[in-house]
Amino acid sequence: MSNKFESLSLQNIRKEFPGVLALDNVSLKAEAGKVHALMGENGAGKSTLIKILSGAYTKDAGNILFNGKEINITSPNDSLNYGIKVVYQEISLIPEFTVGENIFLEKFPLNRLGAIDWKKLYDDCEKLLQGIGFNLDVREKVANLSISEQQIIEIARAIFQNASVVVMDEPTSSLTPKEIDKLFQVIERLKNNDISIIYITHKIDEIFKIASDVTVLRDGKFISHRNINDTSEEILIQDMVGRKVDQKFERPLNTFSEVQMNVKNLSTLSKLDNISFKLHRGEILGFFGLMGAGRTELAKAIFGYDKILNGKIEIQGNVYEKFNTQTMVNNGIGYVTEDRKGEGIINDMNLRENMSLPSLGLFEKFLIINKVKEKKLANQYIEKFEVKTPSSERLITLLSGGNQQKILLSRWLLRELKIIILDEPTRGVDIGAKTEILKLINDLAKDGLSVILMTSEMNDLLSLSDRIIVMAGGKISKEFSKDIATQEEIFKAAAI
Amino acid sequence: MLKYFKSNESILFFLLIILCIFLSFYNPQFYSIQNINSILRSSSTVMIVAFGMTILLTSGEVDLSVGALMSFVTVIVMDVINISGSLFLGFLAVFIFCLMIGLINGLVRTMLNVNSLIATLAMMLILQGSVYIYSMAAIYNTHLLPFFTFIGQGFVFKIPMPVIIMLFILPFFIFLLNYTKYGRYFTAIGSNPSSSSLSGINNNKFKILGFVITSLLVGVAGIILASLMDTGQQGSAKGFELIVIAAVLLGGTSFKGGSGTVIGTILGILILKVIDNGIILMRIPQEFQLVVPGVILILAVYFDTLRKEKNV
Repeated sequence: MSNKFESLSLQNIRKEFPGVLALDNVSLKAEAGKVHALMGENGAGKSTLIKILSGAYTKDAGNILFNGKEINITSPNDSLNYGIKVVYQEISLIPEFTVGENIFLEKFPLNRLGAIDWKKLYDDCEKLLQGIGFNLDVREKVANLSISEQQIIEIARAIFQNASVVVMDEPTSSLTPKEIDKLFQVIERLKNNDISIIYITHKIDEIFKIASDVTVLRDGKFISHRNINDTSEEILIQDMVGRKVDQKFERPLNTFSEVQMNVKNLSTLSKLDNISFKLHRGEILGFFGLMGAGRTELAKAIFGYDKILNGKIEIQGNVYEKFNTQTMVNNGIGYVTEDRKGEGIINDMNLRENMSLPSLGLFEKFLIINKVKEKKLANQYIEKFEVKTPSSERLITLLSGGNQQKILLSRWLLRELKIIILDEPTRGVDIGAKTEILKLINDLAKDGLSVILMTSEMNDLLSLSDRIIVMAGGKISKEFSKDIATQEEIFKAAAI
Repeated sequence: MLKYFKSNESILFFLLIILCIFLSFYNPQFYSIQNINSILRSSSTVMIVAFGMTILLTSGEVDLSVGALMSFVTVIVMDVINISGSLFLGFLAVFIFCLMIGLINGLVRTMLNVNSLIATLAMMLILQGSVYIYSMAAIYNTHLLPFFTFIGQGFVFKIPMPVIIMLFILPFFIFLLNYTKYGRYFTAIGSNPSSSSLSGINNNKFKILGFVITSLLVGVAGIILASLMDTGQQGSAKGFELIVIAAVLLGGTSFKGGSGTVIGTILGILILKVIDNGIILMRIPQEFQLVVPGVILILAVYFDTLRKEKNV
């Protein structure tokens, strides 16, 4: 790469995964010395686009132009050769190595004998960090640095050779306001060095501080490209969430009176800060939050999986301050995880065994599990939810995502249940199964089950929930009743 | 019996039959009652401990301290009976001690969150050292109670007593793992601990239970060993844990947890013991008694991985 970097443009990029159109005709132009913000909800297609840029995925259609000339990116190596560097959210430094070692990890400078030239390494490292306006002891172990310092080292590592475009994925999500300022100063330096930055974030206010252009994606589609001076917070939110809410479900209009669960001042060590809410019988309570808002953490804390630091939960007169998952399951609560593969299905078990796991007591007589009875009930639910499988004895890993999800729902529905916590119940599920699952949730609530619905799908949230609680940064930021909730208001409450 | 066989077990069964046929052609002595009894007798202590190890490995844990504990048990049982003259007190002392060690293993694993490989390795070292604090010298049988000798050396209907004891314990474990919810729980915990916990299962409780059961079984095996040797000896079961773990793995239990059967474990032990026996019968240098099983273990686990990859 000898000629000077001017611009990188993505034109009409398309990427399809089995059953999902992840990117449909998306375009974006990153110019030297400018920050181009990329925005959109969870699942809008931002990460797919970045993965195409970094060579992790290959595009199905469209062009990538580098300084106006078409290029081909088919592997991460291609992307690096053009100076496209991605700084991911998670820090990938080696904690026990020094700053200098981490930055030059892939390419240690060697002396004539072939050994590492430590003096050159640390001198170069100092020059590099000064170049981006950052003073730090290059011989310090990374483990002793703050998160923001580590992040800046990640950036330094990305740009130490011929960077043209630096992609930053939610770089401020774990930083304090002071640290964010520091990061922005570094970004200013990068701009002065004619590097282009593609900046992915949920935080609207940041964009107005550093970006010159904003591109918004929604559901894999290109929605808008605006100059920062021609836009406003309202316009951006409109762009991000402005889809029509279809599929209205008929929810009973009555007000809910009987309190099923009362969560009081719940806090955890990791994230949650003083969460309180009530859940009524037969109510669908929607929870919305952007990445890192603490929804899953809340679900797991209520369910007894994560230890709580403070607070208590009242379920039908019983007050719990110390509890585990067993307590909650015995109280008629069920939880369907967002991480189906990691925390949901049990690979070594068939459908029947996966379904009956929390409820083996139902089939037990004199310690023996009545497998005939178990199989019968399993088949009943397989039929009811139209799970596509030849038999209940099939290994669960052989099923599609949607069918696995139905099995995990059955795991709870086959027992007596008062409350079900659903964490992203329709993620990775095809459209057909999705509608079925939503309809099922509605029917269950009508029968008196209380549902906590945690979802990033604005559509599902608005069409099913009786009440919506919006979370941000581990706190409840706002609560909406069904009739006053709008996509714009919800998003605004989430993006603080 | 056939219905407990999974595909892996039928392969092991087939392998065992071929080994037996081959050995009986090579040396008809293989089929003598004495020889078969000796194979079975030496298998039975391994099997008794392996039942517990199967549970542990299925639930994703391992216990390296079983050999050291077993040696310790031979010393305790001999000493306490020598002093008290009572079998009951001797056995009681053994089981209380084993219960305690099992509990400690389980608590260190779950409460202190130490990896069981490390926790039980430490326990192994502690036991190997402390047995000498208990007694520097081997303890000989001075009580001369006939029933004690009978446990390891006696016969009932020409079947060695250790085999009978093993056969008494076996149905309990087949029952536990195949017919009760506990079997499911151990599989679930080993296969996906988060998922089992999110299904309301108290993982730690069952892990502790697994360690306690294993230690108690070591107590039984240790008493048999003491009777067989007529001595309580500090290093008598050194390396025993490795044979047990190798046999359980050969029997198709995964080291990562999630799958394992008692029948597979039994077949694994019989194969190792028949090979042992064959090496003696064929007058191959005894050093190969360790080499051959080592090679077989690698092959078995490799084929098992291949089979699973095909299934997924």
